[in-house]
Amino acid sequence: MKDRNNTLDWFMLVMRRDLILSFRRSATYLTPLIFFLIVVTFFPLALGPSQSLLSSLAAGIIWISALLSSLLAVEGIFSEDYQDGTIDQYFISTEPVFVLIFAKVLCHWLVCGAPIILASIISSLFLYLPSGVLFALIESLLMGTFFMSLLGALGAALSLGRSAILSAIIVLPFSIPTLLMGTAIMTAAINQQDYSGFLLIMGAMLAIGIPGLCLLTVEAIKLNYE
Amino acid sequence: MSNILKVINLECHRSDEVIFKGLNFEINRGDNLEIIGSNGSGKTTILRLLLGLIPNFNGEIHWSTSQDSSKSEENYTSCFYQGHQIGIKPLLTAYENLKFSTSGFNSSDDEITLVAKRVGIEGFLNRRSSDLSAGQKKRIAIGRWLLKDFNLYLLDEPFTALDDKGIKLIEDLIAEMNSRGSSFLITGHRPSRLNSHKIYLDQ
Repeated sequence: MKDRNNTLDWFMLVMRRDLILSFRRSATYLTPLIFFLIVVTFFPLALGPSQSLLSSLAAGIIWISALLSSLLAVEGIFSEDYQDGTIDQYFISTEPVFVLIFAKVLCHWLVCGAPIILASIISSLFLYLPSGVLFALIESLLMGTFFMSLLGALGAALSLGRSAILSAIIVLPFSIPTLLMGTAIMTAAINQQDYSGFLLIMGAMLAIGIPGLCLLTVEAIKLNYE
Repeated sequence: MSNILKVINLECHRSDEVIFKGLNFEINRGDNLEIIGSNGSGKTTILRLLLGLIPNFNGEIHWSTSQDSSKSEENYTSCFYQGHQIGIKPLLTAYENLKFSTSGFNSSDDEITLVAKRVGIEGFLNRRSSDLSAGQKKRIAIGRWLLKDFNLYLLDEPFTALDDKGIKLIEDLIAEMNSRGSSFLITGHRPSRLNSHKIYLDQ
């Protein structure tokens, strides 16, 4: 038996276990996906099928729906591990806990964020999203949903054992910068301007957010131990 | 013999109420210590406090007091903790619950099968844990002890939910692992037949 476990082994352990668990519990990936599709469908029903109106709102609708549905799913990310003592094992291990938290968030994003991005491609059809901006939508959503997963994990950690809606209330105000950047990218893309600057800003937000938010999440989980 | 853990005058409060105070003990290599007390006497708190999961306490905790100056990894006390919640995921099979554990992720399939035989769960390695009984889940948890060697095992009421054979299994395993140099810190409601020092919290 090998005695030396490195952090990557732990990272892969958490990733593999969470991926298997997510796929065996279909609600984890179906709920946000269906929620997204329902919200997106409401808009043409409420606003009427006018192509020009929907076309001008499409990017905003998809973005808001994607933010809300990725938040919906992340709320329970730590509750099972907290209740059955798995989180204790993370803290007892000699590994940096925020790396393990990152593994959980990454897995969550793969299982919940990625389907939402696929669904947004479909919904862009019936919202008459102007052609030629689909690539910008995917690019911006890739980073946006990942940032939301990170933020949502922090909210979930802060509201561990408390009401689920609390985490949404904590997190939603902090998602405003992501939303602004996302819609800025889309507006620029629709007006056929260069949007790479906004993409880079989003990338920078992620670069700070991945270590920063994961570290904060660890501290937030620790609050439950006092 | 060098002790791996020494606790001096340990005291813990929770919201102005003293849970326990004046606790002194030490654990040597290959030794067992049992902490016996009624519900709410602070057994779990002691374990979690030693592991650093509870930050507020008074007193001293000294790990691995061997005066070896070289800071190689062997001098650190490696700990295994099994809490009340044993962390068996219902949606994973018994095999996966062993493999995806803090002790098992570097183990080969052969090692896992061997351990499963030892703890008597080889017959349902591929069954979902949600189909297993509480005692069988507990046996998976016991299997995790064996996948990797630790210096100190902190076990919170390991005997609950087990039949007589299961209790005998734990007693045999602990004796066997003692001889390999592992120590055990165990909590319980009543003293076990283990060869150990016993501390009674209620007195």
